Amino acid sequence: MSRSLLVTLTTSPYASSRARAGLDLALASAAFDKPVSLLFLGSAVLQLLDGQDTEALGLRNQRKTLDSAVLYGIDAIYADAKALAQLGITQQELPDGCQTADAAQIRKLLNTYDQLVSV
Amino acid sequence: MSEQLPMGSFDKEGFLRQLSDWSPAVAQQIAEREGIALSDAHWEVLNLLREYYRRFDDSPVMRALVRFCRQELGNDKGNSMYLLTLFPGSPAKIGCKIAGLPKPDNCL
Amino acid sequence: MNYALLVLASPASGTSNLTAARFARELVKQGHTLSRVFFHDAGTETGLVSRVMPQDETDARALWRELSTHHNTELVLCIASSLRHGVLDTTEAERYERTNTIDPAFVIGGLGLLVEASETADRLITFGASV
Repeated sequence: MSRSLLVTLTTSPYASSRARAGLDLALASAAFDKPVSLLFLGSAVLQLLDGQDTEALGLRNQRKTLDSAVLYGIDAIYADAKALAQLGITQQELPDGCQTADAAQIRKLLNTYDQLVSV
Repeated sequence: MSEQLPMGSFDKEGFLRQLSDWSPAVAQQIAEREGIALSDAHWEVLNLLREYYRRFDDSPVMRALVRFCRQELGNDKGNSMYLLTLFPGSPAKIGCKIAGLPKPDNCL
Repeated sequence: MNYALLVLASPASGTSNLTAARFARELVKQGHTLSRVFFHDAGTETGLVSRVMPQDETDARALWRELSTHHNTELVLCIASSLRHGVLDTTEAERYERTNTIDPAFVIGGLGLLVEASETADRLITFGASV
């Protein structure tokens, strides 16, 4: 049985290539049959926002690609509740099935997986 | 066949250099060079690939393509055998090439 | 113990890349096994042959090369990130009609190689996560 993996994303979607690289890492791991979940901390919750338009940026749309995660077998997506509150992001702007997690829940998550990769 | 693109429009692997050059006629042209005669069944998957790209801003790997086909077309068509019959060898890669999607980066 | 490393930081910014190289060197010195290091995102710039560091700064690439030469550590650059960061081996250079820019101590490969290493290693350690 493959080891389970929690990929923690910590950066906003377009400030650098890091958000994309983290998502690619998660999708690839899932494509190789690892059980993978995603945790968005701090400004990384901006990656989850609905209605991103990257046309003028000339970049690929992070939220759109995130929506393909379920096709790779990634079912669990967690978002930092405190960061969501600070940025005024509501549940309806998040992907379907995205769960919010407070500090205690995040601590618990970090202890649930065999492996953690923070990007 | 109308609007055949010159050879210079394709790279060495036969991918379009400019994605905006794509048209159904260009798809025919690419498919011919891959030795594939496009049928309605091919077009069903090619349209789905273009829909995948429109929706997810990414070229799918095989696993994601199979699931997407299963979700949109049902179990009969959402399996790798079916896709391999239509696009022998590497369905995701060849499908992307004919559908005018970005060249997959060989990550998987 | 058998380790796998994931390096996300470029050697050109910050200290994470060099820290990772020093950590790797220390691992093998203490008798641990380091069969593969996977470089992802800006970390792939580690394999760029054209980088020149100031003479009075430590060149992380030299440390990585040493691991490859003396301890058979495989240095793998993520293919998607490599393209984005300008590191091309002969195959990719031909594929994209450019020139080769990779240090021969490194190889280009898919993320599957990270997955494989993470499944076989006792520990997977990441360097260069954003803080």
